[in-house]
Amino acid sequence: MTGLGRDLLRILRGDALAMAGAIIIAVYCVVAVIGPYVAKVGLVSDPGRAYEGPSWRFPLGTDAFGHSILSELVVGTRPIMEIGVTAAIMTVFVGVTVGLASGYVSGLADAVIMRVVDVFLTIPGLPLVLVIAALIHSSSPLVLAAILSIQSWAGLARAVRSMALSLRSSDFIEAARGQSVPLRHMIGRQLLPNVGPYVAIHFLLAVTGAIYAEVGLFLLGIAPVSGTNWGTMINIANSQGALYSARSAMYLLSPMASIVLLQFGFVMFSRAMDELFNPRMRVLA
Amino acid sequence: MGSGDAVLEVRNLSVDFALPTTRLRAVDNVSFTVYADDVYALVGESGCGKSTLAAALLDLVPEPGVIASGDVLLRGTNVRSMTADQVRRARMAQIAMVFQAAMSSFNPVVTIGSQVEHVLEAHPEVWPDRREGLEYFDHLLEMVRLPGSRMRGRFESQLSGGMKQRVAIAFACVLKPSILVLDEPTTALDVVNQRLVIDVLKDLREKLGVTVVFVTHDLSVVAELATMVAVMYAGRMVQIAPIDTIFYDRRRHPYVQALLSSIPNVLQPGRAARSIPGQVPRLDQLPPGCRFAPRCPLAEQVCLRDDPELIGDSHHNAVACHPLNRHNSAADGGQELVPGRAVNGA
Amino acid sequence: MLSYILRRSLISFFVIFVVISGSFFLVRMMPGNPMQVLYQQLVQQGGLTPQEIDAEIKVYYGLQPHGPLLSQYFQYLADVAQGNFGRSIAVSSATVAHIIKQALPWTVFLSAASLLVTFVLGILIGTIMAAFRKGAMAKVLTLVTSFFSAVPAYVSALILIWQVAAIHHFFPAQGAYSPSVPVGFNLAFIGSVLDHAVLPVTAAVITGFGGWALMMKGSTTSTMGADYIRASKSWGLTQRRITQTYIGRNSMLPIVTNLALALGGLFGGALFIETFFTYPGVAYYMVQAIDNRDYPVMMGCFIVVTTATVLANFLVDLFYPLIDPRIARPGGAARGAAERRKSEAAEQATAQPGVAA
Ligand SMILES: Nc1ncnc2c1ncn2[C@@H]1O[C@H](COP(=O)(O)OP(=O)(O)OP(=O)(O)O)[C@@H](O)[C@H]1O
Ligand SMILES: [Mg+2]
Repeated sequence: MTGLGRDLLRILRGDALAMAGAIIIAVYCVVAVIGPYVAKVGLVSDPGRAYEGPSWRFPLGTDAFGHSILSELVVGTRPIMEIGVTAAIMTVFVGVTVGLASGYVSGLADAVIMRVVDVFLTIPGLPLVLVIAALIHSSSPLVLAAILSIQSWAGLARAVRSMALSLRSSDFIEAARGQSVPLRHMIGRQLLPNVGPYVAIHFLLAVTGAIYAEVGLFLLGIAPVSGTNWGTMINIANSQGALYSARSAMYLLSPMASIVLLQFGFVMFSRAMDELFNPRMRVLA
Repeated sequence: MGSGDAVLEVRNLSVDFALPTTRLRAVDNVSFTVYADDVYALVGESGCGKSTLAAALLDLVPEPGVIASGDVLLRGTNVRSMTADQVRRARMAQIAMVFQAAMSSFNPVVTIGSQVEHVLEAHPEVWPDRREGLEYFDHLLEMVRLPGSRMRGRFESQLSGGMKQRVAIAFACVLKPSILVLDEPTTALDVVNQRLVIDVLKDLREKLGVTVVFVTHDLSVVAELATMVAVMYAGRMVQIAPIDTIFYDRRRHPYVQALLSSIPNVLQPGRAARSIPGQVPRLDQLPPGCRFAPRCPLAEQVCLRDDPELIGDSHHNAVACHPLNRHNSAADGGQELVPGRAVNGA
Repeated sequence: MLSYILRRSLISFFVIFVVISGSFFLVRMMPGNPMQVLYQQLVQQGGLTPQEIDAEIKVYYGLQPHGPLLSQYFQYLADVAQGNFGRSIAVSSATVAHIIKQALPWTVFLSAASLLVTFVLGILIGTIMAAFRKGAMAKVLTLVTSFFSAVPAYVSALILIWQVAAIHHFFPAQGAYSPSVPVGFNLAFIGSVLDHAVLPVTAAVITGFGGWALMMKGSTTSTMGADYIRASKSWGLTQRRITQTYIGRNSMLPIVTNLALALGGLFGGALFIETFFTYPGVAYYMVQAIDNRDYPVMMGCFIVVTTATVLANFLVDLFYPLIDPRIARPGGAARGAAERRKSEAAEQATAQPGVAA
């Protein structure tokens, strides 16, 4: 593990963009953790301060209610990250479990599981998420995370299954069988380390996808939420006609920039992970 | 042996792999000459640069490899001073190659027949009438013991491993090349298919008069097929000699000696096979002096210091070994060297 | 070949069936079952006998609210099979089928145009990146494409509206055509339609092309490293032949596989793009229906969208053997697009939120 960590550091050092991605993600994580302690969004509005430009007190200016946009961004980071990461954890957990199970049982059960996976793979993900969110209408972060991962586990499950199958037939599993190593060891010591890299990359992609969909839900006003987050900020900005007035540029752009930057960070960092686990591509790309 | 024209001459060829941090010399200053009626075997342990050398003959070293220096002469014409288009025309028409990965050297989404047509279309001077070229391919398929016309419509994925290898051989001969280079033609095959490929190669050489150069680490294939043997070790040529010299003359490079002892039955039936102690050095950690010295029972102080040169006439026996070359005249009669002042002991 | 087609159509049929059944049970079994909610509303309004209320609900959902679940289910299946999705609750006197019939052509047009432009642009840039993968240009292109692949559809749509339409008034940002032109096959109308499509298509292209480009780059790069490419060079083939038939065709395989599946992602983006541009497509009505708690319309739109995606997958599966003959052979791996994509993705995981989400 330390060897992997060292390799990752080396790749990050050699690839400025991947390093930038890692730093972006780290900063967002820190903000998500400490954000609510350092920034507060007032409940009372102050129309006298509406749409102020950037200043020392309000580095990104103020919104229609006279609230600091920066504070809103900072406070809004936690719910976004929390739900995104939870959804990704659920995705990975379900995907790996189903994939390994399917690869292990084989036969009819495997065929049935794979047909179900195919159905999920074919259904357009975001519409499904929207429909279910609209029907369930829950404001619990856990439920929301579960809805967000309703489809994304399927791709991982299929990939993990095919890896499990190819590992099953490969020599060292045969060897493990021959020595009657318990199943727990086979999965823990051999399958997981081999499947791990792909899972790690898929985890990052799942976070990216979940955050994309999540902010989308908030900004369409479909998922009921309490408190501030980037999606509701865009939603409010939009419904107050920020699109059609130049002075609200900061109000509209700040939350959008936050999302794009975070997504960009994930994309770049997952590239470094990809390189870490696919050294064969290192020579080529 | 050794009669006829020199069809392929390699002079002081070096190939480097330019890695981000270092530059590895996978083939180091190698020279040899192949004559028209030779069957030339290139032998050595895994990783010693055989495939790289073979690929360099057609200027096809895979990235990040580059030919650092040296010349390759095809019937006296230097490939290294040809234009890109001349090299393209020489490929397959003069020197055809069956790669080590023959199993995956066909385009998976195009039929074998279409790929033959692509070849014919790229070399119109060989078969002006493409139909004749295709018929010749069918003829070749029959020579490699495959049903001619039926193979053409197939895709690579519809062929078994043994079939693919033979299709690849027939494919390589379609432009009537003067040299056929095969990289490990038998390695990935079962015994039956190995036998078939060996017979096929013998046939092709006899009937088409093509000069065969093949790479292998299987000495039994060498014994069966080759007339000349060139042995490589860690990028260097350590011995070049006719087959009989290699197998029956006792003045062998210690590495060759070790290779022969490592297979049962070839040298002395009944004697147990011995594996060579130690490992091929990594290219970025080459020892000073002779590269084999750390594993060599004959190694002396000079071997650890100076790189030996390949000395002698390759059609007689050319060896790169300090102790052997010093005893050159004395040992010519075939006396086996005993470890004397060897630094590695027996 | 025939068994391949049969197999693929059976699977497609199965998926559609599962989606329709899922839709039914989803609506019916939810904790605040919308049918019950409507029932309660009608009861509270008063003035209707229970029989009248049941009849009213049957108009909207096509179902008897108190009949046994299974018979409701079969009734629903039969209705959907006949294109009867019930009635809109929010838009009085409109059937769901009618709304979808109006909206579907716009979505098809917008999606097809977006996909075409995105695809061509992505393939082009990806090929350039693969061909010049060592130079500075590739570095810049990688940065640019990675950045754009990180831009969500709602961001690109809002920025375009904000910058181009609202502030500069270059292109219209509302509706599918100008209300002042007569609808029909005339130049003014077609011009207006194209004019109105520019911004929505651009929004989709901005979020989409990066993913395609990165995918194409990955696919081409790994194809160029394949053994048969080196072999084809050793045969002295012309560069043109190698590029077209050997690199080109093989590196297109995973791309084509993704084409149909990308429709799903494209529709995900359309939810935002059609909504913000008030473009009267299926995605727009779906979001409207969600806002209005108009469940019959919402489910109808969802079923249609899913069915369209499944059909697109089926079409690609049907034509895929033309470029990859290995697929439909007896004994060959008769895998469909969904299956292929994921095993390929295992080899090259390129981030593309626009397509993946
Ligand atoms: N693409 C590459 N990048 C870096 N080094 C390489 C590359 N290809 C080959 N080498 C190095 O060149 C050396 C020779 O490789 P080559 O494939 O020619 O060996 P070989 O004798 O054919 O072995 P084998 O019997 O396994 O085929 C090896 O030590 C290897 O490390
Ligand atoms: Mg080799």
